[in-house]
Amino acid sequence: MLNVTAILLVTGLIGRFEYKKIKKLDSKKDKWVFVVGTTVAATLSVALVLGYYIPNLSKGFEIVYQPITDPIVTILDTYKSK
Amino acid sequence: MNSEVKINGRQFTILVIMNTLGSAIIMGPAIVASYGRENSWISVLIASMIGILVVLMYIQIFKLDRNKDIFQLLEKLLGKWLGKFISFLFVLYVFYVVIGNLRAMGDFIITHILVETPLEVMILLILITCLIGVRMGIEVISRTSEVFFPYVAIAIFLLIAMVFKEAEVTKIQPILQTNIGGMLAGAVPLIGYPFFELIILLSLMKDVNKPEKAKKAFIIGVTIGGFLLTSITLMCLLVLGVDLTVRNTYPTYVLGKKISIADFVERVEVIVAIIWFFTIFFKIMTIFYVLSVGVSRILNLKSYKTVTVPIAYFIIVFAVVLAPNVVYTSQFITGTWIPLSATFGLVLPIILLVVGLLKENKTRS
Amino acid sequence: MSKLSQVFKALKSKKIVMDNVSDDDNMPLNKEIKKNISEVSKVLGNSFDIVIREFKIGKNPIEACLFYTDGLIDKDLVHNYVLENLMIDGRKAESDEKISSNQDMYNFIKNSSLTSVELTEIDTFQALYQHLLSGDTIVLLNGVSKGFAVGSRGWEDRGVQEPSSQQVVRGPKDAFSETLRTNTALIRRRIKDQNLWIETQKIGKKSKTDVAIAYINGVVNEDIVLEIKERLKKIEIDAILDSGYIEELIQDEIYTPFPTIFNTERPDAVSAGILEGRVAIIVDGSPFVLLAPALFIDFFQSSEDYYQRSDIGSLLRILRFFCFFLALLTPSAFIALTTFHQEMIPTTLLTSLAAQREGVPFPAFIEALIMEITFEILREAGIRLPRAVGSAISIVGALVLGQAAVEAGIVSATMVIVVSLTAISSFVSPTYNMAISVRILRFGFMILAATFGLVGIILGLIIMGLHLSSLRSFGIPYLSPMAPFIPSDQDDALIRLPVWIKENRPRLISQIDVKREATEQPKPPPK
Repeated sequence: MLNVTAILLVTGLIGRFEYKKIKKLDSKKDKWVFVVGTTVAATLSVALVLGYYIPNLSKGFEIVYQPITDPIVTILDTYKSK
Repeated sequence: MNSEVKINGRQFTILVIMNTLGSAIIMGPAIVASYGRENSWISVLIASMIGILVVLMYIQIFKLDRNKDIFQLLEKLLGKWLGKFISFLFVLYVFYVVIGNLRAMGDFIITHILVETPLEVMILLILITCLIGVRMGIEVISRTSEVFFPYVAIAIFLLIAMVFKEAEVTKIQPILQTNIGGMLAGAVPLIGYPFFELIILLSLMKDVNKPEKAKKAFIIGVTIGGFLLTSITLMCLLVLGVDLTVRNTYPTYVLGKKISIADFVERVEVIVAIIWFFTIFFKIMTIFYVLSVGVSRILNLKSYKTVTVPIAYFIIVFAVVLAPNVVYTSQFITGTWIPLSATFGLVLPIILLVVGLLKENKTRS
Repeated sequence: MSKLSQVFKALKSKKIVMDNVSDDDNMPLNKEIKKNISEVSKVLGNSFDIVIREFKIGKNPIEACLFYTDGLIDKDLVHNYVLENLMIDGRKAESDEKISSNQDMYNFIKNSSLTSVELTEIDTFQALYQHLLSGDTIVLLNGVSKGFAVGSRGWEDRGVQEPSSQQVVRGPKDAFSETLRTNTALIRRRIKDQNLWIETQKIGKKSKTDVAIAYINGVVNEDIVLEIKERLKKIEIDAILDSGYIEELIQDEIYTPFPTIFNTERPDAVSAGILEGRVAIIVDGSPFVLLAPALFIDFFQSSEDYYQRSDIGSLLRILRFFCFFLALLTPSAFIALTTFHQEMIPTTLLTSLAAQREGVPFPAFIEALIMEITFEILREAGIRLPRAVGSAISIVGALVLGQAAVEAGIVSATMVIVVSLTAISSFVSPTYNMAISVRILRFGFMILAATFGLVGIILGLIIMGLHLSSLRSFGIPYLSPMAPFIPSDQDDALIRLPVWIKENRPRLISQIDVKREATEQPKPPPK
């Protein structure tokens, strides 16, 4: 719980200071992207701290590239020293 | 975005060197040696040569339009939506390179230097430092790399010089006699890691004040980087021998343990670690910068700084869950990473080149 | 909220009222001298250092009056060349000239009577106060709505003495003092070029301090001059009491421990800076002259580097950089090594260290912190104390706090060595303000080292590097010529090459008229 509070607190602080700077850019899109991005990012970190499952990027790439990876690895492995 | 930001040719060379060495300087030798054995230093040499060729290809892309980075180029050549989609995939790749390097650094520190520190804390600390740099902009990053580069260079030469007396030529013999296939196989993962990653630096080429110098700087940088990588691998083999090099995840670090001056200065391998702290720091910083620029281009933002903070959160979270252990990382590098990096480091540039040249012909005729 | 805005409104209206008062000061002088006198004494509040001397001129006496500020004028000058001329010579000469009106008398005085070099005509009260309070003598005549300000400035001055903060063994030993005129003269005496321009302006609503900027036209980068003038113009402040005020108000980056404007009390250093194309800012009342733009390496250079042989000068410079890092990192490196990386310490040393630390109850970080803070206290006390007590402090510091603390087992002897080494290294810095920055940063590095060992130190160094690279001094990158690396400027950066090699001025600072030296390498006569 302490971790979560810390994350939210830090995010709040950073968000406050950053938002002031982004306001100066005078671009609505920048503001929106920042607010949404930070919210999602903070949620994600809270999820990590609370031990929820977060998809592993490596695994994702592994599955996508499996058909190409397998033959390459088979070839390379014949030369791999034991 | 601020288009006045300019770096000079020398700074770009240094960034290329830092990006080539990156984490490969410490993990590369082990990966190569497991295939190439005695000849693996030649594998590195081959990989570097191919790396130079790849860079020559990247330069051709740069020639298509000198004022656009790769994200703008994608949109220009492939149309708005397809371009944005490919840009998104490319950004995902860049994101993966950042978290991969960050994780590699974190793993190394908590296994060898600060054993009691949690990985999350280490990653957070490194990323905050990088975030500060990224927010200051590429100009500051490249100037800082210029400040630290001499120390990196001196440290690498000192490392080589100080372990030189322990080198034994017999350890790499027979040269080119056996295991030619393994030698070639060893070069394959190394092309993907780190040479294909240099495509990310293509985005920075338009920030170099003189385009002619940018091309030269890119080639010089990758040549020096490849040469240093080859020398380090060679020294690992000469001093540690093949078996020790393969068995350690970080052979260069073990190489540092061999340093001994007058039986008084010993076990200064932490100093060796510091060399590649710098290289990997600047690698993470430049790639993080390109990542933020890429995201802001896709979303058409006014400033890349808007997305730096949210991205930093994402990087930390995904870096923590990236890999269960170090063995998995090196398996990934010799497995999935090869086609993955080839997609973005080889296929994507070829497509870009073909489309770009076709369009150029069209407009000419 | 509403209360706050009310306060602001009140403040604003007050400001307007104040402005109105100053507009009133701009009113012209009166024809009647009595009214002028009463106005002046009313506005100046009958201050007792303002002397008002009424007298009469000529055979058909015209009432006249003389004002001066006692203590700011050269009394001999006023006696011999102002009052005497007006009262005695004026009467003698009157017979030769035709003087029929007060205006005639005024012209006569202006043209043929006052034998003073500096003579300004004034016609407003504002000008009158300005001159009067700057040390000029004011002469007013009845019936004329104008007056004279006779240059008679002369006050007690420290004179040109030896510099107290940046001493050299070999080289000129004069230093700036508190008088602007003396300071500009010291520079002018060294650079007799017609292109050395010195422009002044007054800054400070109340203090009206003269601030001069000096540069060589044709060498200096004009953008920088314009930028400095612009920033000076923007200053709105009551008083400028030292050049430090100016430095703080015009520097590029506020949130930095590093100084981005150089200050020195050595005229030779200022002249060298001006000759390189920098701009000097001289503030009346301060012996410290500012030089801008200032780069990181400037703070490691002493004038003496150029007066000694080049190899010795270069070595000294390298030593200073080395000491900079020693002063910055010694305690943190010690903490990191003893807490996290014991294996790096040679075994024999480690055992003796362990033996020393056996009785010490604190971790290395706390131990270092105690000693560092103690030292900072001693140092600060040493500066402020009367000189006679200084030796007492050093006895207390060295014996009581050093020796006794070790014997009492509060700190280890090694820590005392580490802290003293740090202290001595920080005194090597030729400029005081860079030494202060190091003092601040040292504590940051100690905290980093205590939490993350050498990794922490590296992170700190990288952040420091990033910060230094992001700094600019009037548009010039702070770390140049290191980053961006400028090969042609390396002759006078980390090392100092012989003068006959240093052909060009620093590239980023001065971009026009870059050639500064064309002597060939001296050749020994054939044997």
